[in-house]
Amino acid sequence: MNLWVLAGTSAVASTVEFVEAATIVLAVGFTQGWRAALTGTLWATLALGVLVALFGPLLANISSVHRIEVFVGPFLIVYGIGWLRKAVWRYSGRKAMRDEQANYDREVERLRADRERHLGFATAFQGVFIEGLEVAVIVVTFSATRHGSIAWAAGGAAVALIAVLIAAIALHKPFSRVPENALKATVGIMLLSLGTLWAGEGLGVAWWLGDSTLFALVVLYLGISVILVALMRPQAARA
Amino acid sequence: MKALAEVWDFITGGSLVAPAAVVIAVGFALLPLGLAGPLKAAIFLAIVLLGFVGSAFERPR
Repeated sequence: MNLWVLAGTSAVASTVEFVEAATIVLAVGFTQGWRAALTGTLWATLALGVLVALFGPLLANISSVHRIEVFVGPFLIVYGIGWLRKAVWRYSGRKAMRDEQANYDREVERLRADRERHLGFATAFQGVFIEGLEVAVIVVTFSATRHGSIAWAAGGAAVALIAVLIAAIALHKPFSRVPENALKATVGIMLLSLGTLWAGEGLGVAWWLGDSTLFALVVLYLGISVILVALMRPQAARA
Repeated sequence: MKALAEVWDFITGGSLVAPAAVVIAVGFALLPLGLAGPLKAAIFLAIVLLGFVGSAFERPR
């Protein structure tokens, strides 16, 4: 494989993984606080660094990543369903929309609770760790196709990381102006979609579109949520 | 024990259906049924979807 093609392929493949990690970190940051999100990211990055330094060549065995996905995927599904159904209830009127000030106060109170910070930390850590591990697998696997090409594969991944970081920082401000319930619904859909994809992959389910199945899952869960809101609205109005 | 219950409640959003569906979906995917890949994926997704829809019809807390 040509070295430029190898670096480009590595960059594209890594972009998908970095976008997934950035989505989770942004989600945790906006809902659980930036401290939990950034601490989880930092620790996952450190853990990955140690892992890659110690066991780099072994990462070419993709099955090790899938084993981790088996544990993280179901956690994200349950967590994502919890958020998404709450957003559906609020849009349909089954549960009252929260007053923004009361919501802010409650968020501040929530962030003071240690165990919830730990959950935000755990979610960010798992997301960054899993995706980072996949990037490491991509780099090692691609570089195995041609001797001495690991710097090119790693360079492609680094370019992807910088691009995704710039996009995440640019999206940070507009994202913070999104209404709270829309944010919850978006995060719920993303966590549920990622959880479904990862749990399935880890358990040996062959997704029809590979990693692109993620986009199909997002559309599917969004569609189901819209239908649920439409179905529940009349019931809520009668109650 | 109470703290553990609160953490569990926070993760599940108070739902019983969602974790039950995940356990069933994982159990199904682990069974050596010899199903074709796409069919296995469709059934796995259907169980997770049922979990989401079912949990949405639980009583709000």
